[in-house]
Amino acid sequence: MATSHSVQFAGGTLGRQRHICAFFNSIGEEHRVLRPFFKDGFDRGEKATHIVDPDNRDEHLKRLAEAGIDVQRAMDTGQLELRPWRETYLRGDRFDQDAMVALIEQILQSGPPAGYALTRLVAHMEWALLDKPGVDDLVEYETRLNYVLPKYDDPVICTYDLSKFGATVAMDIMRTHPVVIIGGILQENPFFVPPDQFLLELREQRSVRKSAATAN
Amino acid sequence: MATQSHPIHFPAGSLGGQRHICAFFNSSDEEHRVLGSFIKEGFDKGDKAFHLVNPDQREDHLKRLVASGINVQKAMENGQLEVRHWQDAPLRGGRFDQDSWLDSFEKVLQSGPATGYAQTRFLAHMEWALVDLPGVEDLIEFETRVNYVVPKYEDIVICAYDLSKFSASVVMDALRTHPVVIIGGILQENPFFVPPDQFLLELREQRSVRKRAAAAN
Repeated sequence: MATSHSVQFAGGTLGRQRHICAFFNSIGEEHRVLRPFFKDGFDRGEKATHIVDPDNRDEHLKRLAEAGIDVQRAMDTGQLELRPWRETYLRGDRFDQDAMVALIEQILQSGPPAGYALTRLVAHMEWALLDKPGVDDLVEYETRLNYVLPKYDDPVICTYDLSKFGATVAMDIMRTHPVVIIGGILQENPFFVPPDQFLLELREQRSVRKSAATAN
Repeated sequence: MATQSHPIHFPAGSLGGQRHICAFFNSSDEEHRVLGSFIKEGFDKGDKAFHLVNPDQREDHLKRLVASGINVQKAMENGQLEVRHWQDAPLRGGRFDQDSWLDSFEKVLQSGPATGYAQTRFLAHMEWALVDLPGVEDLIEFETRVNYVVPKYEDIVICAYDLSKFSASVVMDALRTHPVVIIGGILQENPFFVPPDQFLLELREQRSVRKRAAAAN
């Protein structure tokens, strides 16, 4: 990877692995930790695609402006693109993991033709807590992204609000991301499980649950 | 599950001397599948076993020890296995007093050599912190302070958390307060570990932020 694509923030430098999950306790913590990640990207002329909680959209933009980003201009030029859940994860009012993996890949591929060497993609993941068909596929989707993202240099950060998720999901999320931010610190993740192995584990879990259900 | 059934072993020196471990499980089945060999090896080596359990799960826990080939009756009679209920340990007196339990915890570790056991394998089920009693919110402060105690001893301390019962916030803080972690049945040194001096500072800052926010409202 070219050194011009080096990405440093949260006390660490990204290596080849760029599928990152970030655990935060509040939007304040999120912006405190990711500020340099946002700001450096804008300063270097990189694309920023943010998939945000519609309830936090204004707050998100306000905090980007506070970080010294000319939000209006960046949105006008297309450098900053905000996409709501209903046009991404919840298109058609349901979560379709195949469609979403394809969309992420499409977003990353659209950067270079539009003149952006790198795209910094940040996605708020609390849509998975909404009562919609398919949201149970969250963890399977996250592990499958690991087949796609290594083809690109673009960093993809999935943010999880710890005050909203249960521990079981949080641990599975941790196991499906090769890089993790916890307590504001970015680390390579020794608990990461490669997708082949994780998919096998998911299949086994399901068959255990099915045979338990049949036994009852 | 095949991918999670690797037994955990503790070869000497493999943990860089760190022996305060948190273990995350989704069920008792998973817990015993992962820790069974660790527990059994301890008995075979003549180590002391101290298990802190939910009284409701005591019978199930003992049954599983028997199933892994441990002579539970004999081990309890000769004192090699000590099973303590929550209300006689961290929840003594109907509340969690972290100073008093930290002190008792250290005494448990000290009592091993005094009674002829070179090493104690201490296993604690941590769901007592979900019981509605005063002081249980000090769980994380207690966990970080355990890091001042455990390095003084040779003993292995495993704090087991049932993921289906805790919130993500508590579990991430539990992760950050243990230098070694078992997740998905795999034991690893934990890069997210925060040393206790620094973690206590962080807890103090959180509290003062919360106080200021409360005062502002």
